[in-house]
Amino acid sequence: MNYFFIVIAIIFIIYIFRMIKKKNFSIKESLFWVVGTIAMIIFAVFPKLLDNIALGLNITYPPSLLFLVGIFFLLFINFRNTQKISKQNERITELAQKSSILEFEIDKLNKGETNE
Amino acid sequence: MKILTIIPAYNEAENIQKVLDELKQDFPETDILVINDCSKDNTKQIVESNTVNCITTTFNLHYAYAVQTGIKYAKKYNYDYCLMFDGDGQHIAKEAKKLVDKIQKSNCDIVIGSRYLEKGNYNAPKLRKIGTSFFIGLIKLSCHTKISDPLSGFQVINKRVIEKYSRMGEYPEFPDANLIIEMLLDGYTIEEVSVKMRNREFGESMHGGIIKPIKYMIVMLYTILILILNKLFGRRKQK
Repeated sequence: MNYFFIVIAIIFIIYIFRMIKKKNFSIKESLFWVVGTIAMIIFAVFPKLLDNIALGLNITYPPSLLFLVGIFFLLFINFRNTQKISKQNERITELAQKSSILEFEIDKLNKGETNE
Repeated sequence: MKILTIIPAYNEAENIQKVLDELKQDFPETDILVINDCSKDNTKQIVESNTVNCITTTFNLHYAYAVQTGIKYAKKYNYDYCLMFDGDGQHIAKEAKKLVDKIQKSNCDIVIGSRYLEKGNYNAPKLRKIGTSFFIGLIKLSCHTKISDPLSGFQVINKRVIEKYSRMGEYPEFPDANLIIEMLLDGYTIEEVSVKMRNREFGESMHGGIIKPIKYMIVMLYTILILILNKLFGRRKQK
């Protein structure tokens, strides 16, 4: 059992829950991180588990399995973020354009009123 | 027949007065809309002192999205045609009339004002010439249509295209050769009219520097590649 990583993982989960409580982190988005951290706890509690899985997958050096899964996990989250950012950029532009036109129209209406 | 002239302007205080005067004199049939893209100079004041409509963007949107703001306005107020006109004095108002006449007569969707249809109208820098002929070749290859000036921002579009461009995500960051290819592949018709253009007097071109043109070329090639691949896959699906 690796106490160091268990403590880190638990602190991290508490941190995520606090962020959710303060509404700084949406429940939906936190899911991946909580799942990832729980996986970390499981492997820290049962170190043999990693060795057995690696053996089953024919991986001679078990820690490399950990790196592989870790990298895939990060890549997945990063790809998803990039995708979300591009969607949001589009939406922000749309909003900016609409608000520009609305502001113009409101200014025009206000000017018309003061002239009369 | 309602025609809207969209003039995107970013720090064009030195040029915009002339542009507006010229348009009012030589092309009085049109409504003018200046999109002031958060200029840091007094572009807005100059435009408003001419009693011309001026939309100031919420934050700096850059050329294409500023133009799209105008197109959205055109859609909202039910304009029949939309003319894209540069705020830097490159485009000539008398030539704009030719474009609008052409689109009314020929019933096509887009009319582009071309500098290269007749020789000697415009002297472009060498690198730009190479880029232009490259895009001409690409358009010919992918759409079997000859467009002689794919980088021209001097265009008129009709209602059908206004409707399309005003939708979210339908007007890309660089609306040049890629957009022409996309529209041709989608079955829109594009025609050209020979026009004269001036070289710009004040201010900087948005395609200046070294990194920007390289970024532009990469984005452009990648976009065109995806468009063509999409088209190929689409055909396969239809069968």
